[in-house]
Amino acid sequence: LIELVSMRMCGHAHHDDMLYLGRDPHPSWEYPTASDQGYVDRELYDYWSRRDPIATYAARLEGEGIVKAGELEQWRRDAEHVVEEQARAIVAAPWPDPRTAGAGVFAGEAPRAQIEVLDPAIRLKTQTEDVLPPLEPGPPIDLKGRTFLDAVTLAIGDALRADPRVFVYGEDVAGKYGNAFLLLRPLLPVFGDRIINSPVAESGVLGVCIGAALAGQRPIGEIQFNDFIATGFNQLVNNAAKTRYRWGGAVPMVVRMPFGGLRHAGPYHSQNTEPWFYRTPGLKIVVPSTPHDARALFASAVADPDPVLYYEHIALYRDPRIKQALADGPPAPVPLGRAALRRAGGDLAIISYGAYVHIAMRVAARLAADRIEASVLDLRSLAPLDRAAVLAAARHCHRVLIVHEDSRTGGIGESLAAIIQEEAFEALDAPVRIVGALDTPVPYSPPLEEFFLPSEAQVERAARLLAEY
Amino acid sequence: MRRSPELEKLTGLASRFGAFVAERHPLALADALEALEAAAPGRMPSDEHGIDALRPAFRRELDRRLRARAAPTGLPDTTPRTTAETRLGQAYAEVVDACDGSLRRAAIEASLTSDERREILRGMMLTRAADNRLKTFFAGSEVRYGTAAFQGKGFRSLGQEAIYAAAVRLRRGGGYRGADGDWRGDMVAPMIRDLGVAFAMRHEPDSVRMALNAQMAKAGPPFEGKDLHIGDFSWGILPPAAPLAISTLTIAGIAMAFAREGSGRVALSFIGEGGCSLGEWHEAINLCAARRLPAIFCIQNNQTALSTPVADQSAARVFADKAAGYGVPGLTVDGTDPDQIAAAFAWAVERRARVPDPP
Repeated sequence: LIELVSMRMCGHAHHDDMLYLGRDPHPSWEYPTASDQGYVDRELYDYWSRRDPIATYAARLEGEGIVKAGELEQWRRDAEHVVEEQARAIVAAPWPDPRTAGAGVFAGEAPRAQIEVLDPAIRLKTQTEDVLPPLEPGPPIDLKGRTFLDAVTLAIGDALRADPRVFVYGEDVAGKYGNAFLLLRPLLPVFGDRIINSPVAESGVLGVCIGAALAGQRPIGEIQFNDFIATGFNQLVNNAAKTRYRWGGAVPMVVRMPFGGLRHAGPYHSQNTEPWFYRTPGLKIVVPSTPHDARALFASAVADPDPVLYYEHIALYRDPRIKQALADGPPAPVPLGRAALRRAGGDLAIISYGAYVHIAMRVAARLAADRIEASVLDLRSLAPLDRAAVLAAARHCHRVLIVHEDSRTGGIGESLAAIIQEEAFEALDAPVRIVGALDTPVPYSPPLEEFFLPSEAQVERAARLLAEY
Repeated sequence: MRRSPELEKLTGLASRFGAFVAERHPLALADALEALEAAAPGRMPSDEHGIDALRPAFRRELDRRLRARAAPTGLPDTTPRTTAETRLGQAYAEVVDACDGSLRRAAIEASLTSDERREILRGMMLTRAADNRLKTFFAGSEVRYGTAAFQGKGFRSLGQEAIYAAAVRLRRGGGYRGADGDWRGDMVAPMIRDLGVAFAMRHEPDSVRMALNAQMAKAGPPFEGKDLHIGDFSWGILPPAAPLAISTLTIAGIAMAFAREGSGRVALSFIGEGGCSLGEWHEAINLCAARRLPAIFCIQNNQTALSTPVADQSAARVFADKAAGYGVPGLTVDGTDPDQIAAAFAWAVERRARVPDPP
């Protein structure tokens, strides 16, 4: 740690010169004089006024004969000339093309722009897009298959095996431990040198991933419980998310975010933080709901040239009801930004993600017994969002129930409802319904958490009322 | 005949050395000066080779003097599982290492070539000329957006130009750029006010263009009007951000990448005495120290964080004292003396190369 002691001899920026010095200085090779009107400490200012690094160094080098007579004046003119030449070029240079404001959030995407969805030319074309996406149920449930947790372990192993630039960085991931869920433990004997403990410092975890990614590595960061991301907020929203946009830097990193309730784990081990980042341009968000997708989406997340938040629902980790057989080798990657239609039906569309996809499926099965056919759309990615699949499901089914574990206000559900009413208004036969958790912190005690979270019965009742509407 | 340092007027090497010891390890001042005198009886050397040549003897002399101050027996462990003997041994080693570092920096300073020093002076002058031009942009109305003058923001570095010298011995310049634009040299993360260090990484007109253009918001790489900070990643200059410690943590990650590459490259973070109050700065230096990453941290104490004076920022006597909390060496240097700055950073880089990996 090197401390350099000096003094700022101007204001914080132009606007502050007057406040600092008590006068607005002219550009000069010498320091300006300060007046008593300014906020600068005059005694300090006077002391440092005698220590201009250019003047004192020039005198030293002249004294040692390293700078010859006249050279200094020549160098001053040279510097002014170079600067003036560039300044003139800047005056003459064009302003940026306004449309480039929409470019460069993610690699390889078309520039973003405002679209007038009521423009008849656009409206007439899009209103007919009502064909459900292809059914994609995924591998069947297999009680002898692999858990969601196994799938994440396999996925990280796939990434470590495939690319020496990949490493894992997070709290309690290394040594003999292997993360809070022991998820990484099977990988430690083989990849122990690439699974690295961080101090207890979420900004640090994220900042290291960002810097390493910029320098050509492929980091996998782990936030032990996604609730703790709050202490790393700045690194995500102001650093990772903006680097490509600000200056074109690529930040190919994955941040693993174990999340979610249904486990009686209280207000700091249960939250749904995905909506915090859903509205941050520059961050991708994936939320797999099955073991197969967990592994296949992870492969795409690691390969992606931009930062990806990978949400893994803790309640799914060891849920035997969702086990699937998985191949020995890496799966074909599932592209980011593509939803999966888990069940096809024409009476209503249930849109969900994460653990609640399985609740939606169970509800849909019970509705089918009463001849109410529901589509179930698993979003899988929240950013980029598969808007086409959401709108197609809405137009096809005419009734939409959005179900998520997150609190309702300002969540993904309200965003989807806004998109659907704005772009598929003509297709709707009923209000878009949103079922989410209460707008409270996540309570700890089992009866309180059950009351807080949307229950299967609540989802079913909402679905039946919507179908009858 | 031993001279008494309290009564002797020190000059040259001994004077600078004595000031360092008095600042960092004041209670060892007498021992350190005696050891220096013993290692170089008579005339103090002033050239790199001469100074380096006396260092082994100096270390022995100082170590012997410190250890001669035997501790009384009967001291319990200073902390559980650490004996007083162990603790004192650590402290002696730290003092010897720090004092030897001061001599090594003096040797490096003596090794600075005329070309390097001329470059530093010219670089500082270029910095001031660019800053002056920003002021001219602000005062005038050369750049217009619509009917209004666009004046820029005018973050300038007046008084802090000597930071240029921090980069003179880094891996920098066009020779470290791959054909694909990949940067293979060291990486610096200046604050917006550390214009000089950016110019030092890329000392040519394009660099001036980048810095002025960014603040004047015109089209052009690398910001294309989207940000006003300085920087050019493809020349080893990480652009800063207004949330100041963003780049400190990014540098930690870049240092992690350099460590994983095993390339010997180093990553340098710059921040002000205000910015180092941020939690992220603490996280960065702490984690780099814990993993022995090839990172160097610089605090530019320029007396004022926007308007906040130093005393409102921190109770630390000097900001280099913060180093102790992270288990890394710290030193305070006159930020207006380019020779000392160049030597301090060159020393930090070469010292970093000797640090073993964590167990």
